[in-house]
Parts: sequence; structure tokens; C-alpha cells
Amino acid sequence: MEKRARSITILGLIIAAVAAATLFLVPLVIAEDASSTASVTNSAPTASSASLDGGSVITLTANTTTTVVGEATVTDNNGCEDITSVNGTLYRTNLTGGSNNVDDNQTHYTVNCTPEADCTAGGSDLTRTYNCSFSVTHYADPTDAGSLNANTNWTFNATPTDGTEGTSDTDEQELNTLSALGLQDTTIAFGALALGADTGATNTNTTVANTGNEVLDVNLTGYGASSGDNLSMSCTIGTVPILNLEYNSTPFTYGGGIDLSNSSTELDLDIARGSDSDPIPLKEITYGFLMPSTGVEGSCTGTVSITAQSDPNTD
Amino acid sequence: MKYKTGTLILYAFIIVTLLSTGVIAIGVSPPRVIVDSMSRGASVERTVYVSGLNGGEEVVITFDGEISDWISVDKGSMFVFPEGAKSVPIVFTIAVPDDAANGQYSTGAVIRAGAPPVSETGGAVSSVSAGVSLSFSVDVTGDQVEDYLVTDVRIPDAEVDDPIQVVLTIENKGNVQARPSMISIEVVDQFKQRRFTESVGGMQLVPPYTTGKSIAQIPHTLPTGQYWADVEVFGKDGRLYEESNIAFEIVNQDELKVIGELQSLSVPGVNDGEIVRIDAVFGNIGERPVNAVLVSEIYRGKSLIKVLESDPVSVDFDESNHIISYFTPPRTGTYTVKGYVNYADKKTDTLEEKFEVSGTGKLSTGVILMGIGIVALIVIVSMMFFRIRRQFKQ
Repeated sequence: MEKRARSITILGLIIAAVAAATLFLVPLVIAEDASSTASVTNSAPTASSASLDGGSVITLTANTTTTVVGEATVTDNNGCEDITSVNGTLYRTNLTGGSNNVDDNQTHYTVNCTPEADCTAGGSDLTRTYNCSFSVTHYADPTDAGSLNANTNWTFNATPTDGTEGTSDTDEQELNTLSALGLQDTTIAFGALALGADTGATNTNTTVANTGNEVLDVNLTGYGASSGDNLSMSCTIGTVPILNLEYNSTPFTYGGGIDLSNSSTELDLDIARGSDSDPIPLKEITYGFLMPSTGVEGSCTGTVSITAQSDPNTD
Repeated sequence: MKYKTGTLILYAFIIVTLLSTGVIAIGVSPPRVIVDSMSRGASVERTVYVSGLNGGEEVVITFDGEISDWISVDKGSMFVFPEGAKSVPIVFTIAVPDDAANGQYSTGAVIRAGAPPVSETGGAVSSVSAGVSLSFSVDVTGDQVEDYLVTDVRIPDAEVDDPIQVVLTIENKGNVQARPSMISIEVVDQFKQRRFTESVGGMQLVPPYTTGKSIAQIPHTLPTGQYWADVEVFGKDGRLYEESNIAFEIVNQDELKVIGELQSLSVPGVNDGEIVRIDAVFGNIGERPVNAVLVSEIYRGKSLIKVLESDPVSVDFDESNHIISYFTPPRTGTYTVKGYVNYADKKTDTLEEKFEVSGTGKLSTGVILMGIGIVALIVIVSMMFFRIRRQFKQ
């Protein structure tokens, strides 16, 4: 009997609890609309289809910069308008540190890439093309056959970001050697000399500039009136033998220079290639001259031919 | 690019100094032309760029060395540097004679800016000319050498009912035609779901010593949308030549323009017995790559005597390519070639070109036999005549 009364009490409490819950919760449910919320996580962008210089070997221009273009497609699954920027680097491939190095015009370039107008806003278009335009100096490291870095290439790296740095893509190309020189002086003037007189210790100079990307020597030859005439000058009356004109890489007293010759002869100048601290290295060629003691009169003119000779190993 | 201010100032100062004193300048890139594995009778073109000169300056090219006579220059031995140009390409063609022995050959050249005239008078004065040395190194071999690089892989947008085209740029450095043996492609959609994988071979061959395109056609059933492909390019020995991840789109049918034009047709005259080279230039001015086949109808007088079809040539959009066919004329005379190009189920306009096949001065075998026959007949008739005459006299 006592057990039965306890069961009835428990049952009554359960019913009361359910009733109370119904009274409190039902109005609560009625008062609130159903809502769903979801936050979309960011998807980092990915670069693909990286292409450097349209798949062509990079060829530089003497004494100036050359525009080299890298292109990449960037995909962001949040929509192409979510891409905020693309960082482009161009660097010699085997450089320690790769794309993270500081810029140095011999080996490493960084730019902010420019987006093309091929992104449709709204979230359905996920890709955008970026162009990365590098102004490469004439002294960037060559990587073609015969150069010091022939076993490597140049790498273009495109790294996109949408606030979060995404996945990079790369492409590689060869960069050709550029042999180039500039001559500051267009004439070598020895002035008026008496018959049989030479220039002694007074040299006339030609300044040679290396405007390419490899160490240079020079080859010298010359002629009086026409190539191979075995003359250094042709005068109003008479001619001057070719060996009367001497040259060297350092100042000299006449007789101590190298005789000019009909065949092109190398002068080991080792003109360094450019760098950021010295973009156009210069060296001088010094000249001396002996006027024949007889058989000439008036003005004497000739031509000295200076030819750049690539010397990657500085030998 | 971040120049340091000091570097910029130094750079500017040196350039201004050089310019203000009447500098003579010239640059050549590359200064070394190296050709490996050339076969006898083969030829190869190499382009060298000249820069640094002022417009109007003369550029002179001279050779000195053992194989100078193997090399020809598209611009001849002298040309004038154009106004406004930063650099000018010079194309050197190296042709190895049929009788060249195997070995390493070299020669030198100098590309020189003309010396300015001497303006000073009195005393002794030399003008200075500037040049750059250019070296040629050619390896001649009797072996067949396959040596190529895949320098670029691209997938242009494709229409829903057309195959996806994987465009490979191949630099063939060997002395035989080359192509990768297989490409493998895996395509995913924007949800990174794999849509299909495929492996194909049989792309077009790229001729020796040239850089050309080879296109793989991948059939698909993808709807319009954006896709990404992982492409792997394999050689004969299973070597992985290139791998790329490439984004592309499938667009509605007829959304991409397909337009091609036959830009030129040239057929040089030949001597009797020689082979005629029919050279057409096809330009793809549409929006997707196509395979192009030159059809040459050859007439002698008004009679159609032969219809030739070239091998298919891959032509990327915005590019032009030569398509070559060969023909051996049966005899001398005036011939007409009517040529057109079939591409993507379309046909270009027809161009017409006449060519002459001249006699060589040598007699053909038929003519020689006929001559011998006539002489023999005359001899026999003469002998019979004299015998009959002798019999009459007796």
C-alpha cells in the first residue's frame, strides 16, 4: 500500500514536470523564428599555368633594361575577387634562398603583379590572370651554354595571397649571354708629330665600357685605308706601317706597348660585368705612335677596330 | 624591383657620361652559337640579336674560319640598324655539306658597327670601330640523336563538343624528328572532384633543330565551367619531361572562333628530275589551336595530274606555320599548283602558283634509247642499200 502511494507520487511529479516544461518551453518556441548561420572558411588561392617570357629564351639588350614578363593563372575557391595580390619573383634558379632572397639585379627581382580584367565578380568565376613585368638589367646572370651558370636557369615564381598566402607556381627559362661594349671615344688623336718622333710616355686612351652580362676581353686590329692593308695610317703623302701604332692595358713608354697587327689580337682586359654598385665597369686601352722618319707628310688617318671577346672564366 | 638610390644615380651618371661623349656601342646575344649532333646535308637556323646601336648606323658581319662557307645570313654582310629599334634579330643558317666528315667544327664572326668618319684634321688620328665576336661550334655526326625539351605546356579553352587540346612547345635539339611518347592528364573541377584521367600519345612530330608545337587531343564529356588539369609529359624511356598544373575553361559550342587563312604559297622552279618543294604559310587567326593539312592540286596545262596532302601541322592560335609538301614532276613543262588548307572541318581560300620544270641538258634514258634505235636503223638500211646496189652492179 505504501509502495503504491510512492509510485503515484513519482508519477505525479513526472506529470507535473512535463506540464511545467510544456508551459515554459512552448511559448519560447513560438516567440523565436528558426535561424541557421554558417561562416565560410577562407580558401587560400593557388597559382597555376605559370609561364615565363612566353616560353622563349630571355635575351637582354645592351646598356639598358629589358622587360621580361611572367604570367600565371590564380584560382581562389571563394571567388576571383577574393584574391588581393600576387607577388612575382624572378631569380637565378640555383641561388641559395631561391625566391626569398633580397633583390640584386644580377640574380633576383621582385614585383607586384598586375591583374588582367578577366575576373567576373559574384563568386562563380574562380580564376584571374596576373602579369608580372620585370625590368631586367643588362648585367643579369647568363645561364646559356658556355656561360658560368650553364647548369642552371632562371625561375619565375608567382605567389598569390587573399590575406592568407597561397600556393605558388613556377616556370623556368634560359637567359642568354650578352656580349656588349661601349667606346667612350670615337677617335685616338696623337696630335702633330715630327718625322721620326714618337709619343714617348704620353699615351692616348680609349675607355671601354662593359655593357653586357659577361666578363670581356678585347681583340684589336687596324688598317690605314682599307682592311688588311698592313698600315696603321694613310697620310696626305705616304703611309705608316701598322706596327708603328702600339697599345696596352696600362700606361707605357713608346716601344713598350704591343704592336698593332693585321690579325686580330687579344688584349686581356678582363672588364668585369656590371653589378648594382658598378653597373657599367670601365677599363682603358692606352696607345702610343711613331711617325716614320721619312716618306710622309700632311694629315694621317687610320682605323683601330676593337672587338669584344666574351671571357666568362676570366682567363 | 627595388633599386638602391645610390645605384640609380651611379647608373644614370655613367649612361649620361657615355652618351654625352659620343659613345660607339654594340651588343650581341648570344655570342656563342653551339649546334650539336648535326647530320650531313642538314641545315639549322639560329637567331642572334644585335642591340646598342643608334638608328641609321651600319652593321657589318664578317666571317673567318674553317666553316665560313657553311653559314649564310638573312641580312647579308651589311645592313642598316633601323631607327627606333632596341634590338634586331639576325638569322644565321648553318648548312652542313653532304660530304662533311664527322667531327667538331668551328668558326668565328665579327659583328661590327661601322667606324665613324674622322672629323679631326691635322696630325695623326685614328677612328675607332666597335665590334663583338661571335663563335660558331658545330658537331657533325653520323648517329641519330634524339634530344628535345618540353619548354611549355598549355591548355586553351575548349568548346563542349570539342576535345581538350594540350599544346606542348618542344625545342628539338636532336637530328631526328621528335615528340613525347605520351601525356597523362588528370582533370578536376572547382570542388577538387576528379572528373577523369586520360593518357594519350601520337602527337605531331617536331622537325630536327627547330622549336615547334605538338598538340594532344583529349576527348571529354565535361559540361561548361572551370577546370584544372595536372599534366605529365613522358618520353620514350618513361622519363618525365614536364609536369604542370593548368587552369582552363570549357565553353559553349561555337563560342570560340575558328578562323584560318592561307597566307602564301610558293613553289620554286626546278630542273627535270628534281623534287619540287611546295611551301605554304597558314595563319591561325581564331581562338583555338587547329591541325592544318595542305592540299595541293597539281596541273600540267589544264590536266590535273596529282593531288597531294601534307602531314598535319599543329598551329596554335595567333600563330603562323609553314606547311610543306614535296612533288616530283614527271617531265619538263609549265605546271600550276592550286593549294588550300583543311583545318577544323573548314577550308581556306585557294592560292595558285605556277612553276617551270626546265630541261637539264642531259638526255633522258628514253631519248638515248630512241637515238640509238634510229642510228641502228639508219646503219641497217644503209647496209641493205649498199648490198642491193652491189648486187645490181654485179
